[in-house]
Amino acid sequence: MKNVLICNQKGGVGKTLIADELAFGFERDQIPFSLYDLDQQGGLIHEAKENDDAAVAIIDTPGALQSDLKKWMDAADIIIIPTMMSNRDVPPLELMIELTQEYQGKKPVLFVLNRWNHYNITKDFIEWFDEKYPELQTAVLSDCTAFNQAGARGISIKELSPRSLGAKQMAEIYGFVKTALKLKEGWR
Amino acid sequence: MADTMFSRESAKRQKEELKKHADVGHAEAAQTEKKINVNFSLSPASKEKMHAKAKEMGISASSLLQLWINEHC
Repeated sequence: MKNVLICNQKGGVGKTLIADELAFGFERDQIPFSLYDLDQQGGLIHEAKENDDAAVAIIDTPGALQSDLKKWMDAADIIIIPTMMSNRDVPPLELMIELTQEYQGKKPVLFVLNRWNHYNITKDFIEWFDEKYPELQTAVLSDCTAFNQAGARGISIKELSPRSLGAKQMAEIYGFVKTALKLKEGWR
Repeated sequence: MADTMFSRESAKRQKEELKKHADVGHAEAAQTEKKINVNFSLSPASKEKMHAKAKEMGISASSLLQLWINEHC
């Protein structure tokens, strides 16, 4: 079983959103998965579940620095680190970058720059990030109200608004995970 | 069930959370909100039908079951 670890010591950056959207993707593709909610704040649309036949496990982690984080990163096959794009997010992001340094080139590490919008602050942030960390793999998620609407209805953004930018960006993240872990549709 | 580092960690955290709820006097609420893993068996034909219907409706099989439960139970 492959482990997808979604982490950032900062809360409210989109970890649970990504965990849910990956779960929706695996459901659509009939890829059996387990979902572990180590963040007891709740908020997942999906119920945490264990599946003996799981090809992949999604692990949603708390938005606080955990003593076991290093151990979880070691056990992960892919690490996804969502972040918002403000000055307040820089210190925790830089800590996560430091913690994942040793995995670069050994396992996929994806930084998701969340809530991109047309204001300069997010453009500046992306420029700063690309310039300072050109070697890191990134994906962008737009500040898209469809995510909130989909969440309120308990469905994925693809179901709610398949042509939205958010749905396309999320499909790219899902595709990245699926390709990196060599997961195939209709697993059984 | 699967016995992995993450399954053990998840179970441990659920237990801790229940204890916290109990400590602040919300044991009942914690029990109600506890996530439940449901195991049941379906014939291959029923399973195929369920997935086909879910696909037709453009929703997940879990959502389809939830709809059925809300309508019939």
